[in-house]
Amino acid sequence: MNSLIALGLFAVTQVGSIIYDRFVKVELPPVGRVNWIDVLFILAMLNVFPFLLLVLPSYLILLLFAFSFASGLYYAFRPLIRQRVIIFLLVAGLILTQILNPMKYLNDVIVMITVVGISVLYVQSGLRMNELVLLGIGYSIYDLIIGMFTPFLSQLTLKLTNIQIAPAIIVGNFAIGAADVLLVSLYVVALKQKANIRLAAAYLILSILVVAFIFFYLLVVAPSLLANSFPLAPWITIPFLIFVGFQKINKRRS
Amino acid sequence: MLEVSFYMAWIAVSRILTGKYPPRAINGLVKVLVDDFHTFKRRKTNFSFAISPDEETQSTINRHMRKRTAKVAFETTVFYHDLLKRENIDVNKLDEDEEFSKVPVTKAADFRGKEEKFVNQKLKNHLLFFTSTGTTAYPPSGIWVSKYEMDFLAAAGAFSYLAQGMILPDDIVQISICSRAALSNWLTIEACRRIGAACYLSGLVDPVESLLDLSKIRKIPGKKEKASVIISYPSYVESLVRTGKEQGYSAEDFGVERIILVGEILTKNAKKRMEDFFNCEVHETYNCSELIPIAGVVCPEGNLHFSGDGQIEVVDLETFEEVAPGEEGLLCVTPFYPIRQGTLLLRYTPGDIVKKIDGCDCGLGGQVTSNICGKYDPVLMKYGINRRSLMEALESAPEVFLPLRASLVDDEDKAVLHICVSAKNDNIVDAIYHELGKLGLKDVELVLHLPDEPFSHYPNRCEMLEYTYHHLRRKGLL
Repeated sequence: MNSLIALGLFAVTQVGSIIYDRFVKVELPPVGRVNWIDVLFILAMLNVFPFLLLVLPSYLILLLFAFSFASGLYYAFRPLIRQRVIIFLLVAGLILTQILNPMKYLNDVIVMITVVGISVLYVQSGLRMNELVLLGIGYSIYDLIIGMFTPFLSQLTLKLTNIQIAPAIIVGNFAIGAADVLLVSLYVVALKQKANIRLAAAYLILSILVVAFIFFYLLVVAPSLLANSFPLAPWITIPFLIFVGFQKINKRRS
Repeated sequence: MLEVSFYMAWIAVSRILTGKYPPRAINGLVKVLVDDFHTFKRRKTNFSFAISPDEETQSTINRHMRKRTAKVAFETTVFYHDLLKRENIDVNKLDEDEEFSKVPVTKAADFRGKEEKFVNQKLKNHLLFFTSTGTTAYPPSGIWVSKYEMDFLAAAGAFSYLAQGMILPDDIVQISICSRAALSNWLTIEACRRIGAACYLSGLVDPVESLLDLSKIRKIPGKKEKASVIISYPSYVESLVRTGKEQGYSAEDFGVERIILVGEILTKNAKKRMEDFFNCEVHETYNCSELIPIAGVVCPEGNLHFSGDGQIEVVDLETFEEVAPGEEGLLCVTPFYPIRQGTLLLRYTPGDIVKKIDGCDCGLGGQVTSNICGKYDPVLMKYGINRRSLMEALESAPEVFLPLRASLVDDEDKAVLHICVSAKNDNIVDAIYHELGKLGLKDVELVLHLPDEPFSHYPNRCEMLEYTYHHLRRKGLL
């Protein structure tokens, strides 16, 4: 049951991204776009940040996550709510509630809203398909190496267990990392914008099936792996690369 | 987005450590703007790499920078070493307003023909490029600029054109500027190269040939079909409009979207005629080679906003002391070292009259004055008018030849107006007197001239025509 709820939240996030992208135009900076330099910076941070988390004391990690998600939530609400005071109150309310009186699924809601806002912000801010491919491949390699060949992610998961705000959709003993959800969300929104809604929808269904298959595999075929972290990024990136290749071939033909 | 932060941090660090803008960082920002154009179709932005401080901060910056500039000028130039020594001015006290006002104003006549006396003698190992200013005066003056200045001006020019939406990557730019204004032409070409726009030097050729250039369909990949931007002088574009109307052209024959005007007064009537004939935007700017990197842009309110890195003063014509807001005076500029480093000038006046104003609400920023009223002219001053007001008035009269050829001279204490008209008749005389009356000019003797009658008048840059074989054949001279 937990796996089905986690899968449902994962799917809702992706659909939410498509709807958000359809109806919201994010406020762009007066100059510049998200480009390969930002992608390289994100990849560098992805490499450094988790190691930092292992070293930092728990209260600092909580503070770091609180500020990160607060800024993510702010950017997600900014195009929807004009009054900044209301946004601040809303964001502070969500974050403080989760810290002081953690509620079931509230962390998931915070992660989902942040992912929706950030993914649309990035794609609407000019992130190009080849730059997204670079991000996807870079993160997949990192995830594969760290997840498959080191105990690092398990140690990290253990450390983050007692922290009220966690970068993952967590339902019972099932968790999907926020980075993986964000990656799929970026892929879906990018395909919608740069190709078409049908291709985005097809990829969305495929990615849900991939995640469902992995859940099934972990539950039925290899339950021993369930206690460890499983690298999701490569399995959702490969279909995306196929879709991008397909779109490029179609474009060339036309 | 990080890229922009990186370039801005580079600029900030360089400004703090060396006082200079790094041209490579500005080139990087130009690339970002070009990328923005292709990605978002963003045609202009209010983003700037230079700070736009409030009045008080600007005043503090000016005090510090002019002292530094004066020190370098005193140590490295022959002219200012002699001048400041002779006037017994302490360069270390030039941050004080009273001491700075004692520095004699450098007039165009002090500078013209003696440019080398103003050259920074310490710039031995830097390329120095001499550029003529393309002025209407003789001998034409010019300035020596260093390699750094050329690099910076090219980058800053490209950024400015692109940020203000004047030249975009899909444009074809026709440059119709006097070929002697080498720096101006080179900077425009360099700006186009950085932006990725196509450009060609048309020069000040016969308007008939220029119109043919403008109407020509050019199949250049990624660019517009016809020339979409003209950079020229107001009088030359005015002559294009007149010739175009005579030859039966209309806006549909051209693809002009923007006209960028420099070097002369642009009247409201002339601007309207250009906008109507070409069906395009007209941007008025103020550029003077002696004052680079200081340049000005005319805002929608009609005021002149100057880019930073120089002190802008409006001084009295006789005492050379700063005038009160609302009063007219001479525009007096001190371009700051080290942005300006080849030829150093303190309190230089190109002879342009402006009105000092308190500020402008348009939001453009920078130091601001009224638009240029014209060159200093004792005759016009005597009758309480300026060149702009005279031009605005006379251009309103029908059958006045355009671009306006006129001059007001004093003949035995009587004002005589020489003016070129397309036909001599009583109606035109009445119309001109009517317009002069609005200016408060009475008892003016009117001398009418036809277009082919040469007479001494205020010079128009469009008259510095560059001949081509086609032009000579057309005129029967070859």
